[in-house]
Amino acid sequence: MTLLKLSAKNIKANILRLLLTAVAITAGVGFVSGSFILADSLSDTFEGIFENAGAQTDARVSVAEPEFGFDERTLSDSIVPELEALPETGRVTASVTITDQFTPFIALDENGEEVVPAGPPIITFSLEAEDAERFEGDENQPQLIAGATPVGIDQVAIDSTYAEILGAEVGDQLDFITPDGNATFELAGIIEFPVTGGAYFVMFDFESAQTLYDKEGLVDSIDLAAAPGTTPDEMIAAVAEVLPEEAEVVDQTTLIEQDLEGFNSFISIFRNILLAFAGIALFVSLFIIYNTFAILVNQRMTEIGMLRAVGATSGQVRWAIVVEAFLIGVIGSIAGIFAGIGVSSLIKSGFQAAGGFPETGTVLTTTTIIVSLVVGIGATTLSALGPAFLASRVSPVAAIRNEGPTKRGTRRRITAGAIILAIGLVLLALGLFVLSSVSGVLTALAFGAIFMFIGVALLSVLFAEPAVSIIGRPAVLGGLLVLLGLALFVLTFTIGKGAPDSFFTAIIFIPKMIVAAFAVIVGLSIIATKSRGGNPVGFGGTGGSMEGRLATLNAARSPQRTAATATALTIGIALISTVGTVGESIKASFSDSLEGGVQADLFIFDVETQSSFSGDLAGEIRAIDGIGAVSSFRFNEAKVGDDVESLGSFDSDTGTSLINFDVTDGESSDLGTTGVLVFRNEAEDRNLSVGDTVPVTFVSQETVDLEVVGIFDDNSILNAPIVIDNELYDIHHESTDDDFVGASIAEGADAEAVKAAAVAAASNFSGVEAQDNEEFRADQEGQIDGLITLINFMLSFALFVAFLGVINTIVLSVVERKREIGLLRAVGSTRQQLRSMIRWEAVIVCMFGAVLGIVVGVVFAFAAVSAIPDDIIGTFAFPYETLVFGILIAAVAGVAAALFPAASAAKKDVLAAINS
Amino acid sequence: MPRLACMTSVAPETMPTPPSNSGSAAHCVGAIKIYGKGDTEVHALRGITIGFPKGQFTSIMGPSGSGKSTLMQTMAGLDRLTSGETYIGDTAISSLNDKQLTILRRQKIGFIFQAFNLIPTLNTRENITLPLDLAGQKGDVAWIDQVIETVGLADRQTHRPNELSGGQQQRVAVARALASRPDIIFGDEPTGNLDSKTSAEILSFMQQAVKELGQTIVMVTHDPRSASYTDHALMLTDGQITQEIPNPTTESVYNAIQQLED
Repeated sequence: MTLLKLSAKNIKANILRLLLTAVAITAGVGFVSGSFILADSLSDTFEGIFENAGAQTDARVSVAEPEFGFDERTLSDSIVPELEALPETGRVTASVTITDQFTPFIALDENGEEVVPAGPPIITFSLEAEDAERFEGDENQPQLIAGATPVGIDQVAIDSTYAEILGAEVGDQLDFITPDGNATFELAGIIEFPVTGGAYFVMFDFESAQTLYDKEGLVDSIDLAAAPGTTPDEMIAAVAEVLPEEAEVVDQTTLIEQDLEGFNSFISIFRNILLAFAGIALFVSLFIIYNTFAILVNQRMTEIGMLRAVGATSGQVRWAIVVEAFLIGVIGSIAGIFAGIGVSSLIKSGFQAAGGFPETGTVLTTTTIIVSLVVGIGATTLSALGPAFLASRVSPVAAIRNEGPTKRGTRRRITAGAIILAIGLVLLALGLFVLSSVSGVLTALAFGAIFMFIGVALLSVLFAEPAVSIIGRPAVLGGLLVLLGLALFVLTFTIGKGAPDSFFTAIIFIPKMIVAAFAVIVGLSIIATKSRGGNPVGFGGTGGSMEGRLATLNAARSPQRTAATATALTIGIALISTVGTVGESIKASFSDSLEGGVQADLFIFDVETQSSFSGDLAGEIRAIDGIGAVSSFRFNEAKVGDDVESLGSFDSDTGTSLINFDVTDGESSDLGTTGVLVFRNEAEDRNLSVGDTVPVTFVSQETVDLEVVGIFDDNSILNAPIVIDNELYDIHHESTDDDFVGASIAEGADAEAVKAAAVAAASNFSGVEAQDNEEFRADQEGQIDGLITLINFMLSFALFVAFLGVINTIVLSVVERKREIGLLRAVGSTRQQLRSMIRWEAVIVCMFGAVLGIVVGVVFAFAAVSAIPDDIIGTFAFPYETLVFGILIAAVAGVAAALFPAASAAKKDVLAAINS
Repeated sequence: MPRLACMTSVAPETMPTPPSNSGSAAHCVGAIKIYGKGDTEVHALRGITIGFPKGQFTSIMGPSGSGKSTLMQTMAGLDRLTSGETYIGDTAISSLNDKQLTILRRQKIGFIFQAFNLIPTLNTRENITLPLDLAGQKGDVAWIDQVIETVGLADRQTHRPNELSGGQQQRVAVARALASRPDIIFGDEPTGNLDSKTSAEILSFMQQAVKELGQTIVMVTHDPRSASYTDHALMLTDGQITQEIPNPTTESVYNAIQQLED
């Protein structure tokens, strides 16, 4: 019989448990392929938009982008007739656009409610009849599917999806919010776009758009086609002659490239972040595959010895196992590619729930398929190598002696664990004491974490037995569950935010409450089942039911298996605890710095998008009765010497009473048009002290020598190393938009009334809100919470894989104990008792893994927090809620993981089990 | 001395009234067991009606494939009959669901298997009290102590199975079967894996349990020497009872087997 046949027969004989192994691979590979699919789909959607936008255009004239920074730049529409007059140009299409999400045109329904499709921005632009004609029949271009293009100030066209949502038909009168208040338009036409990227479109004719967008006499972009007989290059040369300084002309290729450039770098970062999480999940799958094969080899010791006895070489035995792994890898990886489609849409909905993510198609590329196959098959085969070598060392006598599992594996595990842990500790020490650059420290810590987690997980074989026997005591297990369940209730309603206030928090809140209730009820029932089973002698705890004691004994029986089962879970939970603890510490540090740095009573800013808003609002705030100091804050970029730096700007006479940047040298008030404040690190790098002059170049390319008036120590809020006065800012920038406005309430004024007035003023500016100090801080902290939730969401995939591993090991141990189970049934164990035995074994092993993971994760996070400089994380804090939730989730996972193996064990025929 | 309550092997339809069960710990009526279907049909039991009297040590003998294990397993409620009925005391087994059957097993029946009799994670005493613990009962501690003393395991109570010899392990199995004072104990080749000296020791002990403690034991064996320890031996051939040997000796059983083969 050939080896392949033997491998295939082995797979066939153990189809169920090998399918379970394949599922672990499927999950890991699914995450990898899902990451690629999501990134590719996103990329495809947007590339489609950009390419279509450029396809019909030989060149485009638009406002020249500044070299750095940003400013309001305009191009007069007087250029349009000049371009039309050139003999080299053919068609000339001028347009104005608003893409800003919060100065939009939003349709209103009959109740006057805004109809905003979740998330994506509404893009409005001008659309002329000639565009529609030009695109007609080209399926890559927008098509007019009903009515006509809009003509005049009271007509509008919208895209077909938006029309569908609104239920609008051509000829309907539609109410819209516009930057100048509500207005009614007649729906002239409906346009279907080939790809929308989730955006919704509202269109007017050019002149009306100019008026409606407040861009009279201005143009944003002019698309040009070359005249017949003229090449695009000739046309571009001619156009460049007549263009004013503030405009530029680019050809079609550059146009598409420019659009794609920024987008592609975003996609690649996005994909790499996803892949990092996928890597973690895959890494956990590797453990499971290794584990499964190690157990299988141990179980098949007799069979392997027999093969050797009848003449199989050690190489053949080894290959039979590697080939078996390879075949499973193939099955698991192919399934993983398909699972990836589901995973990608799951991640997508996660992001969409967390806040805005475009609708995309599903793109499965050859690269995705190849990478998934290589990673999946390679990883499976690789992780079976160890067990395969172990199998090849089985002596033929094993068959005769009917040898049990060897101790050698355990010793090897301990050695490997010790070495890996040592490497982790060295990296940690490097990060803590040797390295000084932040990126170096973080890298050392990240790798240190991974090594430490694996090392501890491997070494857990040493203390699995005593730990499990302690956890398995009914009083301990029951007590722990009750206490943690109650703690989760209390924490959720004290430290946590209590009842959910959004869909996303509800997703977490409901399971949390269920888990807490589950823990309390189950814990109480364990304690109540006290001492039903006589008074057992010796090991395994006292009291409790027989099945509970057997479960504990089973978990403690093979520390190697218990440790191996728990390993995947330990690593997963350790990661979540680290992220949770570091996150909580960042939050606490941030909260401390906000508390010290933020003194303003009111904050006015665009809460959702942090977009800038008109400077007029600051004026309105100043006019409020009872208001104290007011300062506008703006952010831009400027060049200091040759380096582009973030530039902050504020009203220096009042600003430092609102935001404390801790000016330690010199002073901060009244910078005028010649003074600058410099962050201490920046000043040290550039060797600047108070009184020195420093040349600063603004977006306008004007360079001014500024005098260093003060040096500040706290950059955590402004996050700009160079800070000037708004007076100076206004001289060198066109735009006078503010990024946020801080204000204090005058002493003796009615704080509530002042706040109400500020809220009312802000409400006239789309997206802008006024928050008081407390709200502001809660809002900022909430953003960190959101980030942590998102990271945990991604890590939960790794936990899911670990969960599969637990099922797998339990199935294997049930198979191994078939005769034992038969005996238990014969001497009077009911099916229910058998199920509960297997269930409790799983719960105990899972709890062991979770507790270990949390201890390691928190210890590591503590080290990390101490290593990271204080200006990033200065305070250590426990994420109590997450930790408690983590342990309880593990307990629930144990119950769930045991469902299937317990049911199948209980169903086993007593006789068949005994006679096997 | 021993007298079988009934010893016929007639087809069910010609069966007279069921035998009185007043003296039997377990009995069966018209037991038929067929494995497989069609061409692969195997008639393991071809209509057996028999009772096992209380306080007796019975052996079931027969060549392999004769149905002796099937008879024991169906009588013990480990397997179900194709037709006919088995009773433990007055309880008809086919009327019980799985849970009731399980509870019946742990209350009224003891088992001694050929191998793999013990749970490896439990020590000697825990293995012995396992059926009681599963039932959530404390059992008669004095009795259990006495049983453990009698089987000579008093100083081995906290040992795990892998720390015991094969003979010691079987003694634990016997002690477990006795611990709950079941109505009947079934043994499936209980000494099949042991050397002759250890076998003799275990069998004497089982004999003693019947004589001195009034226990009922039914044992399946293929070994004439084992059968000689019992009060009577039943010969099974091809799913039917063909002979009963009262007070069997090694020789009489051996001769009966010889006759069968001739």
